[in-house]
Amino acid sequence: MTLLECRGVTKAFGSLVALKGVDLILEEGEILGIIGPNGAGKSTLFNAIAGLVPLTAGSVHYRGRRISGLPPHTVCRLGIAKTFQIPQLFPRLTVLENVMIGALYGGGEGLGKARGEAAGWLGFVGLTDKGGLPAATLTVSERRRLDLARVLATGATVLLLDENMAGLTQKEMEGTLSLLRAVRERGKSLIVIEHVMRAIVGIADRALVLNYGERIAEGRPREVMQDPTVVKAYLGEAYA
Amino acid sequence: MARRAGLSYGLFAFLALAVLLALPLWVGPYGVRLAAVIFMWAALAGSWNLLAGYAGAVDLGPVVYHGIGAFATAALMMRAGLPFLVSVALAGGVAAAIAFAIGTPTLRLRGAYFAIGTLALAESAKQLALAWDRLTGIPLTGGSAGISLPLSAGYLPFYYLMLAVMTCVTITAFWLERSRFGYGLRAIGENDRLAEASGVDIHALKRRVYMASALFIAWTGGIEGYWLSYINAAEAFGTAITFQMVVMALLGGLGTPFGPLLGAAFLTLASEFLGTRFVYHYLIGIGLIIVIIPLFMPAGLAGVIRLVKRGRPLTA
Amino acid sequence: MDQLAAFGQTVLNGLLQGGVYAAAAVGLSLIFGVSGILNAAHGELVMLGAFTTYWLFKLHGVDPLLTLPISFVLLFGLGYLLQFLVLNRTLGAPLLVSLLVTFGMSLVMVNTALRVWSADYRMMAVPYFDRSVYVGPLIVPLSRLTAFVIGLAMVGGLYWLLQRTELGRMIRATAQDWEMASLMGVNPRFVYAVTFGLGAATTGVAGSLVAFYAPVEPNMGLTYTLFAFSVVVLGGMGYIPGVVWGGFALGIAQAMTETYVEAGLSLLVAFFLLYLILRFMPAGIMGRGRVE
Repeated sequence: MTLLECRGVTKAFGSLVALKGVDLILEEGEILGIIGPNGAGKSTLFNAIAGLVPLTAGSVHYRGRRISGLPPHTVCRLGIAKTFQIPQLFPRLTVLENVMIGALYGGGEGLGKARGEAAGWLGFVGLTDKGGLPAATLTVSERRRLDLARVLATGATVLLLDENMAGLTQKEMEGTLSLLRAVRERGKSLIVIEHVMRAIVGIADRALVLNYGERIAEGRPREVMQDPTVVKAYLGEAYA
Repeated sequence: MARRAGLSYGLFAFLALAVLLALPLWVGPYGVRLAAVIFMWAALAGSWNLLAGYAGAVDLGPVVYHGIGAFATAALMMRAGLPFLVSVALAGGVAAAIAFAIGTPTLRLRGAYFAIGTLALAESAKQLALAWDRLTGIPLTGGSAGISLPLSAGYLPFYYLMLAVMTCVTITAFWLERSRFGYGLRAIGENDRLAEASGVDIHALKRRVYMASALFIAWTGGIEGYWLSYINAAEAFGTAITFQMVVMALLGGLGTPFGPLLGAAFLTLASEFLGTRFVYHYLIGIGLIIVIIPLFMPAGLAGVIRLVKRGRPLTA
Repeated sequence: MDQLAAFGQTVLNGLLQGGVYAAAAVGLSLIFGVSGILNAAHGELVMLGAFTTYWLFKLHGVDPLLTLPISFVLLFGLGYLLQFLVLNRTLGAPLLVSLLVTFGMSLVMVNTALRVWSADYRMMAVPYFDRSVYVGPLIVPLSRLTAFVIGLAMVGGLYWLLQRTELGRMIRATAQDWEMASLMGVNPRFVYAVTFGLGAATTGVAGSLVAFYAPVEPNMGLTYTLFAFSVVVLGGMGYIPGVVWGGFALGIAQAMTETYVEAGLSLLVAFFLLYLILRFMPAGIMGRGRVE
């Protein structure tokens, strides 16, 4: 079934139009990739879906119900959670507590259950031994994993992952990809923004290309990469 | 900032409370009165600490509820003829209701704008209180002359009342450190946008704390008014009270349950022994302390104590 | 006709006062726009400037107009030192820190002033300011007119400095992106110090202007801090030209309240107006301000 649908999503910041009539569909169990040059509006699209910025026009629907206009915390509790391009955290809370917040409020759990859930997700992303440290002490790639654990702990069905794989080594990327496949196996659906083409090819069922706020192509990753319109627009880093 | 209280901490707090309950047996009237003043400021600073230290929202207008508490108590006692304790309790309710009304629009402001906005509101409230009787014809505030309350006997009841309010505030702070609600609040204080994106209804949580804070501040204002038997708008709504609350919480350690008490004790004692003789020097000294603490000792006195206990430096 | 004259006089009074408010507020806007520091001691800088002019006039017979450059230089030095020695340490720290540190400074300044000068109200009596200019039925006191003209000239001068000079470019670059600016060879610490110096200097001169027509006392600062906040928010945080409109708006709102409602309520109106703007139009009347 169609989990998430964007109809004509438009967002303008004053005279700067970041998104122009973007349509998007995410089916259950899918992994959708979003690519496009810098400034194409990819992160803005995520913010719009998550309710972090109000839409100028258009609408967003989740499980058939209109969610555009709802406050971000409601959208999260309904089942859509987002990571951040520059990983965000609660610096002075411990790593475990960071994840707990997701379980407590996104997932609506009680304190004891949330702690257990959080510990589980920390193990899943491989951060268990950092659990008691203040989150501010983590390295950038650890922060990305923490961000992922946090959105997983919210119990969200749709995860919006914003450039989770930027700056990773080959090996780290493979690790993250298998992590994401395992996430899909647990019944989640993902939308993934990436610049790294290898990652998109490796994980996405479909890919959607944004340029200057407009959708210019969509289809299977390999097809999209060869589409002349896309090639003409700047593709970002292409791993050979 | 996350701490596991452990049995020893709770036990310590319980013992301390027992000592304080019995204190008047050992200390003469002067000491009891001084302690009562310390408890009053600890309650005020502690209430401010709930929103500022845990949710990271710097409110520069908490004195509004102090004034409301004082005048509501006076009005209920003298016009409705209600007994003192009932009046104070109800005055707290009035303050919480007003806090709901004010908090709903005001808590949408963030950072500097919230600080300035609350300050602007507090100053507006003071001006309104000063002009109220003249403007509305309802004698409530006595304008710049103020209101006299019926004389109260003794100082001992006020010692215990202030101790009670301070205890409520401290217990609330303890609760914030280990409850589900507290985690949400602290998430807001650390990164409110992220908290919101993680499912925390930041507005609702902040408002609840704001109302609780208003309640405690109003009780303190009401009790103090009856104790002094005189209140006037300029003082009851004055920014001096806000600034003292802020300084004490900061000095003692923001975001800790006992920090406000430490700060209140330190400053009250300092002003007792210096203030009456060297008012300006004392205030200059306070000013210098306020400049130095955030720069060099951001965790305040509580941070220093923790440092000594664990030998590990703590950032605020 | 009387009604019209009264209205005209009210608006005129508001504008005259507003010009001085603008001058008093531009420093706050500049400092916040560049270093992100909310200066709680802002009003005290007004007070210090006012006292500088008063004492120079009273003790040394210096012409009030000549005290202005002295005020400027002294307050510039004070501001520069404050930023360089103290406030530069608060950069990157949360807002509360700079708010509290500057509040501590204000306590030190007010109480030092009280200690040294006592709480007495003092008023300059300048012979050539005793006159007024008459425009039809409207009365324009010379002292206020002078303050108005010089105040606005100073705002204009600051704007010119920011837009047209090398220093101004450095300041604006640092305001927009200090890391980038430092990569271009700008020393941010120096820029912040100069900015605070300029902000303090203009505020001090505004205080000197106030001394031309109003009494001076150590506790006068808080009201001016709040007025300055009002003006800056009304005109748009960090948007320099906005302080002029913000100042006029505040001045006229106050004058209207004093004439048509009640004199004692002008503060209430001013502060409540500030609250409303913060809540409903945080980018200011013209929508050009920085919003959190």
